[in-house]
Amino acid sequence: MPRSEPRVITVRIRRGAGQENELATYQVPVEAGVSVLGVLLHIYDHLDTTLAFHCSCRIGLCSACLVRVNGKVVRACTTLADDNMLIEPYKDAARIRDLAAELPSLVGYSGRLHEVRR
Amino acid sequence: MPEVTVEQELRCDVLVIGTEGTGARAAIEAAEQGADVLAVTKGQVARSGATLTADGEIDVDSRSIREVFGLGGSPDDSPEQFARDMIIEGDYLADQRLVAIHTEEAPARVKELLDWGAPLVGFFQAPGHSYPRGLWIPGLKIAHTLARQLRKRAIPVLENTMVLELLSDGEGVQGAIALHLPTGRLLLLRSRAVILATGGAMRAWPLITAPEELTGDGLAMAMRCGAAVQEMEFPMFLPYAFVAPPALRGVIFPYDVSALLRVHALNRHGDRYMARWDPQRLEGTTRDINSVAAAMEIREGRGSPTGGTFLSFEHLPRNLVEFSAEWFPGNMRNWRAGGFQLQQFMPQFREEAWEVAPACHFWNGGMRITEHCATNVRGLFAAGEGTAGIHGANRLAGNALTMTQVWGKRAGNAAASFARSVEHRDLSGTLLSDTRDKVLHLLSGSVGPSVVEVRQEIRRIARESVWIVREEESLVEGLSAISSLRDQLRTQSVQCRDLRFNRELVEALQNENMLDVLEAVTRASLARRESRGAMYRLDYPRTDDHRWLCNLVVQHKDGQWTLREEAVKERYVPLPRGQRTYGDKGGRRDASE
Repeated sequence: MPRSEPRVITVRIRRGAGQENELATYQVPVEAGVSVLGVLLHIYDHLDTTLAFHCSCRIGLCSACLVRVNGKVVRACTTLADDNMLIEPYKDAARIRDLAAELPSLVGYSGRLHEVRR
Repeated sequence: MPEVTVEQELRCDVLVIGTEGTGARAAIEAAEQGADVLAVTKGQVARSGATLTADGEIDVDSRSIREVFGLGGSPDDSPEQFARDMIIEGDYLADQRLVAIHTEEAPARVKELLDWGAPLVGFFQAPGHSYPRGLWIPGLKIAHTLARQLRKRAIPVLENTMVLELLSDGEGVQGAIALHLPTGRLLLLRSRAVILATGGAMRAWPLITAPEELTGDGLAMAMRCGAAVQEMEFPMFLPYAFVAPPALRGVIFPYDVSALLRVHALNRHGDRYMARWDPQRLEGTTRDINSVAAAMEIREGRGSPTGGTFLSFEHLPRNLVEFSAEWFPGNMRNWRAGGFQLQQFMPQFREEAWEVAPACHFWNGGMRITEHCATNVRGLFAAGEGTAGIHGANRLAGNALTMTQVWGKRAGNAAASFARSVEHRDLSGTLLSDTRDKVLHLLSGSVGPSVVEVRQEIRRIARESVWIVREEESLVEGLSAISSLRDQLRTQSVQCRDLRFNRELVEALQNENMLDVLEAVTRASLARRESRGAMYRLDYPRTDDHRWLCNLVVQHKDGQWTLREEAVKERYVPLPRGQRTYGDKGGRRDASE
């Protein structure tokens, strides 16, 4: 693979819970061929550990890392990162905090406590 | 300072921890047996865990493929032959009794999946198997199929809930304490029996194919209440995972390609190094030997710039490679690896060799279980990845998924039956307040190392001391580094004060689990003075059946580690004697011979 020097990209992320709409801006050094998930992991590891987001398989199968990038819902792991990205929760109604959301449950009980309490 | 509250407790007969291949199958069976079941998962059902990442095969003996599934399997195969292959390729450490159950029950369990609507997309023969046994049912489809069954049976599932400790009073286990991740509340889950279906601890290594959740939580919790584990020295590595570009790190080189295509594994000198390890099978040998060979090339300075080796098509004319996507059935047609379209990377791949390295993929060992999935701790059952005895020192391709169904069902059945025989006890004790204090302490703004630094140190130790090729000096260094890091665990500094999906808090708790498991791996690796299956000791390069044909059983209780040896019992596959060259497993039988 041809290798290039890391470049710095600007990433804006919609932070907060519920309808909160606080835009945080990060300058992230990236190599060529890094994914949106790679950028989120870099921010968490090196810039801001309070960022909430999900990922699981990292290979484009599980959908846990669904986010909206520049208005389009994508899997963060299989989408290559670009400069000037706006990253938002994939769906406001499902959002818990920052980019972390609960996906629609595939089982009857969605994990909400009152539904399992007997 | 955030407030950590305890929710009202939930009660059930059988608590199943983990909801994917194994856990879902266990929950379904326990419910069928009339138990009141509660299942809990750190992620979401069919959206987390290892099952959905299995983009390959689920194996049954080839004769059953013909008779039960109506495909062109070989009538010469049998469950007994399948069991023999597993024992030989597992380098003789498997429990022959458990393996016989595994291959005998596999056809019925896989048939159930198809009856429940899972799609069969093909079948093939993977390395190490004497006959074609790989039924190709994508793991994601298996996960979805089982999720539908959970839903149909209205089995309650707590999603996004991380179990922190098992409720244990020294006489047995009756439930668990969990953290509900969206709210940060602690939950008290009381049960008559517990099934662990939580998988391995692959995430302790830097390059992995496994998903994020696989941090050894179940193994560590079980060890903390006295469960015996074995074959911990044999974490399994896949030889060919991408190391570049960054987005593809840890993605498995399309399995079918490496298995079916004449792809050549090369070092930086262009040598096809597998000729030195398995001259007949070359890259077509089993994954343990491929990984050891690659690790040795890297260790001895013949690797790639990013710390891997190379896979090459150079021996094929370029205008033939052009058609390679057409050579394979099913989902390989478009050069897919997981959800990646590799087509976008093809221009580079056509010109250059692909840089790949061994990645931690699976847990060959784990909790020591009976044929009814009982651990040595009363009330604690375990199944699937993270249990020992099925794979020995190396797992044959396709058996991870088979294991989920055969052993998930057995665990569900046994736990439901056990639950009928015991009453709920009041295991109040101090565990709940201790756990709450631990969480509060982590959130209290300690000044120790950051959670990320601790995780990075765990991975450094794993890579330097207990990667594929090991030796006494680095193992001893590893133990010492683990000991220093253990002192710092309690003072990990969690900066995030928000309890809702607090990634840092979860990682801090996972770090403790990974470190416990890593110590078991390191201690067992140090004790085993030979090379076998997934573990190669540079200072003891031969396989020594005279001395080491035994299971190393590790226990960790009240801060004390103990190791004991249990001789492997010979039942229907004769055990080798004496010493042999690593990789020469003997008794191999290829269908072509």
